[in-house]
Amino acid sequence: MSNISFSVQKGDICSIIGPNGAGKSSLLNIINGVYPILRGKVLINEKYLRKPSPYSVARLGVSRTFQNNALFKNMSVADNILTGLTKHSESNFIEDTFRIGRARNEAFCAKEKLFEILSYLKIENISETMVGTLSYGYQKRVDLARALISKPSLLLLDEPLAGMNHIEKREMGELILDVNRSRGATIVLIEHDMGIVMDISDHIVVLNYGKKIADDEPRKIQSDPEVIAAYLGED
Amino acid sequence: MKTGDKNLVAEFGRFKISERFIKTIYLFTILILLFFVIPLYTSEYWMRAIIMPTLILGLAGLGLNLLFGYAGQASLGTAAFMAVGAFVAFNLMYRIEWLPLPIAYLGGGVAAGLAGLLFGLPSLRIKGFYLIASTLTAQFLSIWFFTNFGWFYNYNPSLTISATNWVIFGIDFSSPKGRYWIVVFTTTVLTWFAYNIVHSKTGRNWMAVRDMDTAAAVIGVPVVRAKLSVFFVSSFICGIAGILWAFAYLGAIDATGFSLDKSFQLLFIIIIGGLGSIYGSYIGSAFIILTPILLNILTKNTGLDQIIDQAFLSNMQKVLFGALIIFLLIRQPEGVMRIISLWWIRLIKRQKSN
Repeated sequence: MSNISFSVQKGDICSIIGPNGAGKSSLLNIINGVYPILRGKVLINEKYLRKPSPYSVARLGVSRTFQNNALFKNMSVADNILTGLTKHSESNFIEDTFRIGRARNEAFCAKEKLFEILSYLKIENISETMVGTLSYGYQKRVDLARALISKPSLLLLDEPLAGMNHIEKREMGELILDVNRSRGATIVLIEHDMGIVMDISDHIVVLNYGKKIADDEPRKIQSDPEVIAAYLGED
Repeated sequence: MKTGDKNLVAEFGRFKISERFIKTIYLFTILILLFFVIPLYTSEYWMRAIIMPTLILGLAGLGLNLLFGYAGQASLGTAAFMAVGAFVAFNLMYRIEWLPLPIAYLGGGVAAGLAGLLFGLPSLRIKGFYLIASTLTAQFLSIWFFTNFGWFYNYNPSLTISATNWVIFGIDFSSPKGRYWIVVFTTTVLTWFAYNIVHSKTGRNWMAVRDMDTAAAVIGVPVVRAKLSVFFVSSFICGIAGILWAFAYLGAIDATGFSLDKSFQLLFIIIIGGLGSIYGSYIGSAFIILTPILLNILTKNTGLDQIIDQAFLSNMQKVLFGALIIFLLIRQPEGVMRIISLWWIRLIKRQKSN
């Protein structure tokens, strides 16, 4: 990938679209600190990390979900969601062992946050179920809950609608809008379903072969000749 | 409906029984049995030959279970870390006479923990079978080390080490009951610590690393710290268990007492008991220790030992023991603890539906 530059305004929903292999997921992994950057910079909240790692980026308030629901299969739903809080945890090992000090406080706060997020996503009744036994749709919700529990300022969603039917897609689209509005999270998402992308995005970045070919409002993207060409496979 | 009501099992007028309440009662009963009833009202044989090794091996199994069952890091070096604990504690006791006994034990545990940390370093790069091979190094190295360097066993011609000190805060614990109490106390405290850690952020990080370490790293779990901390804690617990095994149970031991056989035995204990279960470690160790004794009693009482050759009989016991393990693992691959928890859930459900 080269020569890609775009910015996302605070409170916006930005979608990254493009044909298969265009580099969408790679871009997400770069923002997230998974892939090293050879040349270039990622600024998060005006902050620049010289050597970004997933952990340091996560601590800046960035959360993400995964295309294939990378959940912890042998852990309960509640435990899965609580791992989303670990990046902000300050308690040390001794405190964890004796259940004192910060470990005690954090455990107490974590419980409240957990109940809040469980009821927000309407998954209270499965909180003790092992994630591996859940259906795909529920796993998507747990993945989202794990990302949301830390109250991220930037939320990266990797194909949040993949594998869903029409009604589920609508619901998820509305959920994403609500997360953006009522929880104040800036959202960057990758998605193939154009209908919903056009509905919910504030602006769209189009990639093709590792290059940015458009970056505009949804309305203008729809009529951009280069984008149409990339999608229809014309030269 | 309040969240507390979800646990409700039965109601007698104003007196309500929750699931948690029953579990607490069970726990207290077990603790009272272990601390008072067994040492004061049962025979010394039961206390010394059955309960004590069950607890100690259960504790070592718990150490391994944290590493393998909770954090997914396979290891065959468990006995090596037990050996480090025992030998270092012996030297601390022997060479620094004024050192209080608990400190010497703690020192042995920490030394074992550091050894675990050292042999855990490869886990940052490799997993599964390769990690087993790497921890196996610790196993062979420790036997060679504690046999060839005489300083560690104080040049004792029999190559063994034994406890030189049984005094804690001016009270002598050298009697069988005293030793037993040390074992029960240490086991209880360490199990409580392990319970706390497993249910804390650290424990969740361990399980996240076990289930999918790449995803764990991406969502902000400090993977390196999680892996190294589990190696330390696991080896610390194994080290303490090694000290208890050497001094409280056997009295004297040489390096070959902590051989690969012991590592395998501990691995079987947690597989039978249940991976990723604290109580499972103790149930597994009880199974391993009690079953041969039961088989022995069975052959004696049925009079089989009068008819059939003794050596053949003891071999048959081993075969039967192995077959029993295989049968158990086919019926329930997740271990005895899983069977118990399934019973428990069924019991609670039936009670709730009434």
